[in-house]
Amino acid sequence: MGFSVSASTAIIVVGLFLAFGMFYPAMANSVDRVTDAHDDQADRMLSIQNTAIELENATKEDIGDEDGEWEVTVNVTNTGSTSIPLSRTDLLINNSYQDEPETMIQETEDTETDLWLPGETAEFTTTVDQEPDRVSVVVTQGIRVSGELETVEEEEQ
Amino acid sequence: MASVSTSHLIIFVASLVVAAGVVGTLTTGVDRVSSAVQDGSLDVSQQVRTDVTIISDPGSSIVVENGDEEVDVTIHVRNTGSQTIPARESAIDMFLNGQFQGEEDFTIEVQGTTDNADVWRPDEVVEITITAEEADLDTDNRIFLTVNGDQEEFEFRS
Repeated sequence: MGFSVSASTAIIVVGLFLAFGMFYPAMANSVDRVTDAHDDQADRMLSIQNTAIELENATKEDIGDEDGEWEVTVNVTNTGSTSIPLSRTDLLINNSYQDEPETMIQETEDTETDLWLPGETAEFTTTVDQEPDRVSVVVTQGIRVSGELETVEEEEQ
Repeated sequence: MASVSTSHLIIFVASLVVAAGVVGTLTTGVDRVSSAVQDGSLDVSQQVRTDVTIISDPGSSIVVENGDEEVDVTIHVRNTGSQTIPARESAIDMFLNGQFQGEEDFTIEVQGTTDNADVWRPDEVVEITITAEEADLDTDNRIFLTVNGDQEEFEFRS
């Protein structure tokens, strides 16, 4: 009788070890995964707080060609404390997405760089088919500025 | 005496069988709960990582007439989270003025240069065009969309 109790206790103890061995990694992985996701979210929140932009001016100019195209120039200053990737900056003119506008950092007249540093003003230039009214510039994390486009009169010759 | 050892043997075997049964049930249950916890954590982490933002400017013309008394309502949505989202109509639950828009009522298209138009990666923008009847739009309108638990609202005038 005594040996039966010890033997079955031993089997149950081994079983408990097995069960814990299965449960622990699953639990640890799950907690890790969710903690990572929350860390990532906190990083995003921090970068939202550090990012700020300001619209300096936005102008449109009739190119004067047969297709009636307009050239739009938008100047935006990075007033935050973090660099913004220019390739991930979106330009919306009259609610239509502008594919890869030309970009230039005004201070350095650099057109190749992708980094838009704090304090610098970036100039976005693109051409649209119809006379536009409004422009929006959107940077990482969805921070955006929008405004009316002012018309530039052609200089008289 | 022989009957005593036989009954001891029977009780011994029976106790082993019962213990083995308990252990089997226990480990099966724990295994099931473990995989459910793992699935749950995967869902939760994806929901935490998912974040989208409607970047359209309500001041521009959102509604464009399409002829046939139909209108196109176009909005742009940026993936501001760290989770890649399939660029499919089924990934988005869309409501226009409280009416659910089925998969055939709107289209989704990734904007800009992309090497795979089927996925909507972080920092990419999609254009969502809802085709609605003119009668469905009021003066003030509201779009409500849900992506993987992340809810966004957009209000505009037609």
